[in-house]
Amino acid sequence: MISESPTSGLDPDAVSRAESLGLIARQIVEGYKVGDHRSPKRGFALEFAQHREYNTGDDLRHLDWKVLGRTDRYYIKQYEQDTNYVAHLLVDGSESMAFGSTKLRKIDFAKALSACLAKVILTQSDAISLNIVSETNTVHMPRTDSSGRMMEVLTRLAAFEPSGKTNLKAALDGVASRISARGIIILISDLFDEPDALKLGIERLRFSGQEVIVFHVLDPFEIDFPMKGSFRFDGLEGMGTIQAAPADIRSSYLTAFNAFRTRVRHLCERANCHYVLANTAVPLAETLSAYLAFRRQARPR
Amino acid sequence: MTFLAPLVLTGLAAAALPVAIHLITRSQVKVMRWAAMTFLLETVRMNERKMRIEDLLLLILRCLILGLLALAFARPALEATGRMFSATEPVRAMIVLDVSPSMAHNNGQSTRLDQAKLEAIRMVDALPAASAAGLILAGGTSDAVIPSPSSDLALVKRRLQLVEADPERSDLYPAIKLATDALRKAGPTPGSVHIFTDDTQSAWSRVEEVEKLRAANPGVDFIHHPLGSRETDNTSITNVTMDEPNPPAGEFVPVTASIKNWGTETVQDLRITAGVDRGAPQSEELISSLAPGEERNVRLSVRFDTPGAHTVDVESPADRMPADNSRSFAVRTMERPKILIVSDERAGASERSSAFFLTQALLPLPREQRDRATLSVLEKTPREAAALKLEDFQLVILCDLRDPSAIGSADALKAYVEGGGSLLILPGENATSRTPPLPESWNAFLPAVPGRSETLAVTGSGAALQTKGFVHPVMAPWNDSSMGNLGTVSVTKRFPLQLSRASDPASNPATILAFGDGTPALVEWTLGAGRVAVIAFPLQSEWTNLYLHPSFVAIAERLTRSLVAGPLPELNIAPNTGFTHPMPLDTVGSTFYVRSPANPDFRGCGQVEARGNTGVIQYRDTAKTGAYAIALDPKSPPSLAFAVQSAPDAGELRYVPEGRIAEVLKPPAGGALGEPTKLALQKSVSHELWFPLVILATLLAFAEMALAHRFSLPK
Repeated sequence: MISESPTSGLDPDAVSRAESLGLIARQIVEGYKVGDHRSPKRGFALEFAQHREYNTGDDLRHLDWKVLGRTDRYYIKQYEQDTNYVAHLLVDGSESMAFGSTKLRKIDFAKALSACLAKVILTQSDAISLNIVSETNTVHMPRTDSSGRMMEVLTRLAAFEPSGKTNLKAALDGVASRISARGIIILISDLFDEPDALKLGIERLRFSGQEVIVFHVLDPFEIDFPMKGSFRFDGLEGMGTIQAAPADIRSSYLTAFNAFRTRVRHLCERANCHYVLANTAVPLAETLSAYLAFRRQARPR
Repeated sequence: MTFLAPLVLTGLAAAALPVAIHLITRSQVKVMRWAAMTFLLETVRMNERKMRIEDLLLLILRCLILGLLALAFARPALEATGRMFSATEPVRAMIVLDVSPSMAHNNGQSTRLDQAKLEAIRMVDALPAASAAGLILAGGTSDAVIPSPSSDLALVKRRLQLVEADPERSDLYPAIKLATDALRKAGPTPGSVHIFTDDTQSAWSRVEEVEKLRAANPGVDFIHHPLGSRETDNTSITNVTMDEPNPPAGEFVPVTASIKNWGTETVQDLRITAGVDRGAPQSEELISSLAPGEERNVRLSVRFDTPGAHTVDVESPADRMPADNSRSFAVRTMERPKILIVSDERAGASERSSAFFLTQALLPLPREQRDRATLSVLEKTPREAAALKLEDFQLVILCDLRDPSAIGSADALKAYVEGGGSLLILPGENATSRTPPLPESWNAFLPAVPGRSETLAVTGSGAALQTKGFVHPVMAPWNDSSMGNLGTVSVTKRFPLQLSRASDPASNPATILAFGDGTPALVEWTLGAGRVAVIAFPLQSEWTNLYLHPSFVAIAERLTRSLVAGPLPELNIAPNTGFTHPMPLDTVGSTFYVRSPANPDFRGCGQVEARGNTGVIQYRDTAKTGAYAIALDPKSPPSLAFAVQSAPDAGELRYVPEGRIAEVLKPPAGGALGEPTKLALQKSVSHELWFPLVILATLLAFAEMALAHRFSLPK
């Protein structure tokens, strides 16, 4: 578990490496002020976008005199307009996130990841909103582009303890209903819910033009199931209890689990979302910088 | 079904061990809060039934393995018709083990003796606590290995393991009597005599006496443990002989081997071989067919490369009783012996003298070829002979000397003989004028003193010589009529021989050849290391026509070789009779080394002892049949060889009728067997089952391992 100090959620290594890479919007976003990201709106900047017919009231400075001279018609030159984006951090706060084979639980990893992303995004003058959701407890912090509110973000993250069941569809629908402008939805979860629910939630966000990034947070024990001896597994989220020898069922378990991961990844890929496996055994800085570097290379221009 | 070690059955509790381990490990389950429960539930649901069946199967297998092992260690056994002890009160048991040659009969896996030893050891193991046991071996003689019941059962078992078959046929009665007496002497506690035998007729030759013994000892139980199948097929070499008692070295000499088929079926293609000193076979003969009960003589030949001690080894193909498929015969070969014939007239000078006929007989070759003869013969007059050293000759023949003292004093002659030389004395015409015919001083070394000559030819045909029943080895071949008949030989005059008496009766004179009336004609004896022979007549036409007989040359050569060889100790002896051989006086105190069938390398076995004015080797450990060699230096060739031969009928396998022994040994009427002895005889075990159980447990263990491996493959 991360220590009580809110700022301890920030991994300096992760933040510094992430800041140098930045989190650039992959697609057009609808910001509310000028920024570094492409906007669907046309403005008057340096990069030519298109012509449009002159209307009364248009600034004559943007009239294309060359076109007027050749065609005797009035056209206004339009340019690309860059804006900022709003990244909606959606952290799974269900009880399953409380599992950890080491001191670092999945929720701790998710909190640190959220904090680092918030710091990076706010540093590059974009905006974030924070949503920690579970069936029983929900934390919502509205949009902000102020770096000064970073401490509030950290405090809210540090104060949250996972509980209740996962309901990804409800969480995604809740976010979708609250936002109207196109931005980035960053889902940080173990995704232990019905994949169909995840699929519906992601598809709805994608239909509304949102870019969705899924950080699939998993513990190494969940990925490799390496335990030896006899175990009594007490299910989180009220899933009951069973006793088994992991060595006897490892293969079957891994088959089922890998099938689940594959299905999640495929549905993300089909929805044109980035799927990032966040293994809590791998340092956060490594996971985050690897993804941001990949994202930077894959940036469409 | 019974258990020989019932206490071990408590080990069956070990079968619960896997269950206990399961329960213990169950209490050591670790608890983990788990998030990805959906997948775990799905996995367990898929495998639960299969895993339960697998676990149950492995649990059952493991319990079964431990249970079977516990059962095996408890030594379960099937009950049979024999008897065994109850595990209650201590008992006394005497084991009588038949170690006759037939017990070496092999069934392809083990000999009857091995089976007997195994069964006897099992019986000792089954004795109740504080019991005592003794062991008596019934071989050629009864050997009380542990003469009275001993509570040291480990010693009894150890001695049982060391028992070996005896080459002599056994008689069980003396051994059973020894055992019965030992039980009686051991005290009032009654006991039992356990007889392990293959029931050959020779072993039970005195079965009636055993019956009487049983009747006279109602407190003793006689328990019969029959062994082996009643197979009778066996061929054996019953005898090996050589015509020449002292064959020459470097020449092929004949060997006669007798082969007998003791079985009930004809034996085909029996290959008989003969070799020397355990070497490769030098000759072989094939007996194409040998009918049941038939004995056949086979003529083989061998050659001894060097003079000295040798053994001839005759072998036939090994059968179920390999001990009698080889037989050794010991001989001593000589160098070219030097013989001095002393006569008043040279042989060439008179063709009517004994010296002439003897020389012709010993050297039947032209004068220029005599150097190649196997004998070196020198003819001298007494005056010439006196100038020679008699010790340079192995044999000195004195032929009718006018002045016997010319050859030397009586003491000098006696010393010559005692030192290893031999004398052959032929009194003749010159002696008829003397009384006595030979000097009286010679009586000290003469085997027979010639009396005044007498004429036998009253009717003109003279007296006949012995024609059959030859005992002495020199004349033994003439027992076979093919060698010729001495019936045509007549003696018209003779010196009646008065046999001398030796201080040791064993050294009394031996008659080589007798007259038809049984009076001695040719006598010899051993004196010290040499021999002296006297003949009752010279080889002159006025006395006899023996020199004209075709057998004369052979008789002369055999007699000469026999005398040259010195005293002929018995080189071929029966088992357990011991071997004695004279040795030169200067070897007294030397260690002698023996190579025997039991020990293929020379081992120091004793020292040459002094006996009178000679040395003597005495070796007693002659239980095993085969060739023995004795050397004073283990690195040099053996100086002596002898052979131990089993009795010719040792290979015969005839059995007492089935049921006869059971009838003889059955308990007395009205007396419950074992009741007076408090020896609660129960049904004994015929087959112990521990081995099959161990095998089964091992197979199950392998199955368990295979299944466990298979079940542990990824699910």
